[in-house]
Amino acid sequence: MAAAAVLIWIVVIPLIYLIVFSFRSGTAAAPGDWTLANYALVYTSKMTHAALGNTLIYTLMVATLSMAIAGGLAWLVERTDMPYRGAAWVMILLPIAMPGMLSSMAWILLLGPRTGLINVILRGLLAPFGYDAPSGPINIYSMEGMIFVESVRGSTTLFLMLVAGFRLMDPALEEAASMSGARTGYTLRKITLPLMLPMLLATWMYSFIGTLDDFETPLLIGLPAQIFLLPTVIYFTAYLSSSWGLAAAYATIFLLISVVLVFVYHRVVLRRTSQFATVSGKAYRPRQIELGRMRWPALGLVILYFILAVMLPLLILVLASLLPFYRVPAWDMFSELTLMNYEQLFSNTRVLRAAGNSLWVSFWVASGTMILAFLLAWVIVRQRVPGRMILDSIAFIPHAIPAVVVAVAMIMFYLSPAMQWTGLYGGLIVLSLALVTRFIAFASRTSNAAMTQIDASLEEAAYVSGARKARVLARILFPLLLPTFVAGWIFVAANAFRNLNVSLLLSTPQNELISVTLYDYWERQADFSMASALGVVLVVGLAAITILARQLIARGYSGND
Amino acid sequence: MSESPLQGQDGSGAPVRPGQLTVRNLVKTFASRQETVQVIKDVSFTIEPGQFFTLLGPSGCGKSTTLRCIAGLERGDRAHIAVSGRVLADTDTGAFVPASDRDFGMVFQSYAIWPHMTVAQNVAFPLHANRRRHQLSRKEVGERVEEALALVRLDQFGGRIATKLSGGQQQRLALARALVTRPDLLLLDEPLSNLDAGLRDHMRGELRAMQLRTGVTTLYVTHDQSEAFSMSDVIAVMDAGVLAQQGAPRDIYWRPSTAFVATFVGQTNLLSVVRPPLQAGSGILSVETTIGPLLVNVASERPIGPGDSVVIRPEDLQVTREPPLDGRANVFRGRVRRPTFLGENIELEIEIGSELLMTRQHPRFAFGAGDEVYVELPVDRCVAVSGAAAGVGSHIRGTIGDPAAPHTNAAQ
Ligand SMILES: Nc1ncnc2c1ncn2[C@@H]1O[C@H](COP(=O)(O)OP(=O)(O)OP(=O)(O)O)[C@@H](O)[C@H]1O
Ligand SMILES: [Mg+2]
Repeated sequence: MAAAAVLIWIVVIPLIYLIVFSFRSGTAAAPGDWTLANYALVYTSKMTHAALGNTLIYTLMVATLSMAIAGGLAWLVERTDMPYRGAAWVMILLPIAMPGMLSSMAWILLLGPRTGLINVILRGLLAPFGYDAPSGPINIYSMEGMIFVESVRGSTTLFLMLVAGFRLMDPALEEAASMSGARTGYTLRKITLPLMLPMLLATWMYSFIGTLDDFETPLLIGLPAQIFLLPTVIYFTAYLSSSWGLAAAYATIFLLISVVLVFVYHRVVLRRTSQFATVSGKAYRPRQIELGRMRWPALGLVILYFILAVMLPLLILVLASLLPFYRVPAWDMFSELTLMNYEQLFSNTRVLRAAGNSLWVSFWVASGTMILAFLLAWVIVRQRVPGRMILDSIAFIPHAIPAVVVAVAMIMFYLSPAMQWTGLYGGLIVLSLALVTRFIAFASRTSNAAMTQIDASLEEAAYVSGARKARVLARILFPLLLPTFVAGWIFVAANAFRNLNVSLLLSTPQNELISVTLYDYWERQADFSMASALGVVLVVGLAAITILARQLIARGYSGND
Repeated sequence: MSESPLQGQDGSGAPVRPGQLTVRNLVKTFASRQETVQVIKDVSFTIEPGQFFTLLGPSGCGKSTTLRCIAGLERGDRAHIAVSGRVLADTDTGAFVPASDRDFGMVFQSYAIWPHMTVAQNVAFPLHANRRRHQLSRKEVGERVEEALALVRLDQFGGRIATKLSGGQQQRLALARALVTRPDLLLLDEPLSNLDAGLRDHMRGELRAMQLRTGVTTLYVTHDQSEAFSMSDVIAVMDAGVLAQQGAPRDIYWRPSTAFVATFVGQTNLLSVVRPPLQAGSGILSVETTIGPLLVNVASERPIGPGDSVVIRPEDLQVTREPPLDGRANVFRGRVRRPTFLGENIELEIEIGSELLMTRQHPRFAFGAGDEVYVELPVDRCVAVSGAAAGVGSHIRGTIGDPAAPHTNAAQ
């Protein structure tokens, strides 16, 4: 029951407080009278309408575009005879190691209107045709720019979901169409697409909800261009203009939208998908569609994706990190290349402190989240106590809370008169709690799934042998679930380490995390070279952790030696 | 017999539709990163119009692959495949007709019922996909669907969502869909294996009745010998990518040509041949086996010698307490080792020399363990086959002292 209390403490109470606060005036530390003024302001503000419109366009376009990219890639890799499909897999999956903040930064360096490398090159090429503007021709600081960066980056997860979806389809369904006299195109239209439709819709909606929550691209690219989206509006009103009541009202509205969407996704869309699942026992892949002369151009598309998603961003970041001061790239700068930034990085006390904070937070957040998730899973899946269904629903809520809303709720709650005396606000503990809230949904879904897989009789045998509950948990369940636990732990730790959307809002000089330091170098100090150097170190570190995790997990599953 | 338009019979009773399938020199290799495996090694056979032809063999022997090559879902490395004289694949000329243009009906093991369509839409699909070839109006399509559904007694279910049907109904729906275009050839890949036992027996009868009614040439794939025996005109037994034997069900059972075929279909006793045969005459040989000299029939074309075997089915052994009349061949003295009462018959293991033979007798014979008996192996039931027992099948072999055979009689 302690697990339930923790869950209520970190999820339910801050949210309730947030909603309550949206009906009050004053500041977080000193709430004033009850009022509807916040909502009136939201309703009449031009900013609201612009933000809602922008958010809608952004999420719609990103979800659709990244679906198109991911769908095309998944189809090429899974269903055609494109050459080098193994290598294509790796090229498509690599962007996972790239945090959103970094790809936004890299694309600003590439496509910034004045100094962006690609723009500089394009201007050179266009000069003979009479183009002599000092900036352009492409401006990353635009809605199109944001959509482009996020669509390319967001495709990887969708790719994995679509591949899994493709594999669920019984190949005999298409073969039966062939035997019925249908050619490839007709089969695609009448059989394959209709069968895939629920799955495609579900993936699209997943992407839509994820994009709605996206903070880093709107922050880095949207904010300088004065393009506000819901998350950035909340950040702006709460953090930059300190209108807490207003921010709470925005956050409440955002929360509502998100909850409705997530509810529809889980209760309607996912159910529909499982109706059409047509797994058969057949191990062989469906027939591959012969691309003929299009085989090599198809591979070219994958390589193009790889260049856009990983190679160009990484190259420009490395290049920037080797320059003493960032300036418009030119040929002569190769003589200036230096490791100075890296040296400074490793001797800078602020950076080292932030790195220490990040490690501390990642460790405790990952451990806390996973332990909480396992206890909850045990209660929800195994115990027959009343109220476990309510727990299940509570554990599900964080799915639907946008990160920015978590952060705002935590700030208000710990700044409130009731909690102020604890002095926790501004420390690492509140930050960690907020991050646990952020990741508990993922962790509890994984643990529930893993717990369901384990036959109850394994536990019952231990009870019959005379073991008490604690012993059964420690000696039977925990060892059996260890691989899942380790995998989940690493996932949460890596994501907590790179998190910006929760940590930026909650950050104070005392609890600064490395991701916040990175943002600070970039945005407030405009030291692009230092920011790039830090970014490169971060990417290398995250990639190393990911590879290590893969191997650990693979070993964990391959045998109990 | 109903007057079904799918019947394909004219006044004289001879099939109107030609439907002869010829497969010559089919070879198929699968290549993976690690290895290449030749799954089909030079298979040739012909199915006559209207025949129910069954490919029978153990799991993984290449039955489905053969069927899929004929369907056009796989391409053989080498093959000549023709139906009704129309060449569908010929690796010498490079001809290859894709699956969608072959006009066959096919029933998949998983049925492959499209879950996003109703029952009627599933059946209508082949007619729509083939609209140009079949030249049907919308009304005619409706009639043909009705007719096909009536044929499998699903005419009440046209509007249902297809996945709401039971297993047996889905199976019949798959059949209706395969037959709606009145194909020259019907291909079935283990269509009954997903049904429970009772339904399977029932569907067996239905399937065969339907095939007789429509007269469609049918290629059926199964690993279940009783399915093969009960439905087929011709059975081809397949073993590791080659056709071991082809013939009528009775021939396959009583006149197996290899030890593999004998052991794969039904239980059998196998006796090793220890010396080349002494004399030959009119299909009868005298061979020296591990229990002594035997007069046997020869089905194999290869000469029989050491390394080959003599087979006899358990139900064919004659067991008596009194010696049979003089002049009977293949009579041995033996001792009953393990009588097992099974109700409808009694199963005995009889020790002859160092061999154990298995037999089933009428249950009224009350044999006990240790009884001395005379065993006759009737000459026309003993068949010399090429090859010796392999690991597969349910043949009976065993020698005294075999640790796998517990000495139950020792206690008595
Ligand atoms: N697409 C494929 N790729 C690689 N190997 C394959 C493929 N299809 C079949 N095989 C292999 O070819 C062999 C024959 O397969 P096939 O499906 O024809 O067997 P089968 O006789 O139908 O067996 P079963 O009774 O189990 O269905 C098997 O060893 C199988 O592993
Ligand atoms: Mg098969």
